[in-house]
Amino acid sequence: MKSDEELMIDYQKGSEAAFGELYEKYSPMVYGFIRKRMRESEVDDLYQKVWRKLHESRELYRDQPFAPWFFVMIRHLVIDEYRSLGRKNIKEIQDELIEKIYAASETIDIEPLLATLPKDTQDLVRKYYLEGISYEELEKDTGLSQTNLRQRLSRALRGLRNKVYEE
Amino acid sequence: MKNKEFLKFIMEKEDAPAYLKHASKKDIELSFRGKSIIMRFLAFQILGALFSMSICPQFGLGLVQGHGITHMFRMIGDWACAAFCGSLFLSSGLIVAFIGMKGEELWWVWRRYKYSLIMLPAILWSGLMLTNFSVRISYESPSYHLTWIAFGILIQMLLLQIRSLSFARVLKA
Repeated sequence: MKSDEELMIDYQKGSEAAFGELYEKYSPMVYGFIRKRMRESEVDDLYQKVWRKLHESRELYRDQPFAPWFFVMIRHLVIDEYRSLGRKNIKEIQDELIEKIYAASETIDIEPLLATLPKDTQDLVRKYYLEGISYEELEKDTGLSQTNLRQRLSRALRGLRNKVYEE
Repeated sequence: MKNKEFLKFIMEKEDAPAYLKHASKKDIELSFRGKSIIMRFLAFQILGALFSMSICPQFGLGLVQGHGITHMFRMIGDWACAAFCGSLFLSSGLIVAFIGMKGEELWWVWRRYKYSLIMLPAILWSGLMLTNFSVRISYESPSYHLTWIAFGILIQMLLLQIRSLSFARVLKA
């Protein structure tokens, strides 16, 4: 199994299969992220815009972790969408959107959150989500099966999610 | 990385509705050969235009003599004649494209280029109409030309949308 970064390089070279794999993996993240930030009627359009933007910008991708790079792109699109809606809609809607932008730009230090996890789980989360290392590689590095890795990461994410919402 | 939003991004997964997911994926997959699709679409438009030119009694190649069926429309009025003529001639390229291209390709053209690729032949034909070919005919007023172009564009849009919707139904199924 290839890492996201390898898939992205293949996608740049014109591999439809590589695009397909990235699409299947990131589609739920993109949709979930957008749905929580846009109105129901705006979600579908923006979801499609994200994938078009990725396709049009694929040449700009350089050797770097894919997930953060893609995330920045999506976030810019969301903010652009807020702005364009702000131009078209009444002040009330603008105010609501500005509030959303503030919420979207809120930042925290992830490290303290990660530090609450067991050491080996912290490493897994960093490697898989932040560095884009594939399950296959993690399997070789850690000796854990892919099923076990998925379970551990899923559990870790659930824990992190609860902590994010507790704040 | 210090970004709560990024964490939310990787955690807040939610499956997109099946139609949206398939349509968006198909849209990008077709974009890999977008240039080829556009070139073929335009080539079919040219083929259709050549067909039109071959039978057009007014400013065509003169392979068919007389006005034929257009006399029927002329009896209703100039506007009917212009509407029929514009619709038939501008849509001929599209009809040829329906035969030569896949439903998904036409669906993609509709999603991405419905205005530019429909307007282009209309503008080209308008250019032709503004030449001496037709202007010399006294009864063809600006409103006649406008009706011709407007119906041509409308019918093309309608046909392409219908074809596109039929593929969209396949995606939804």
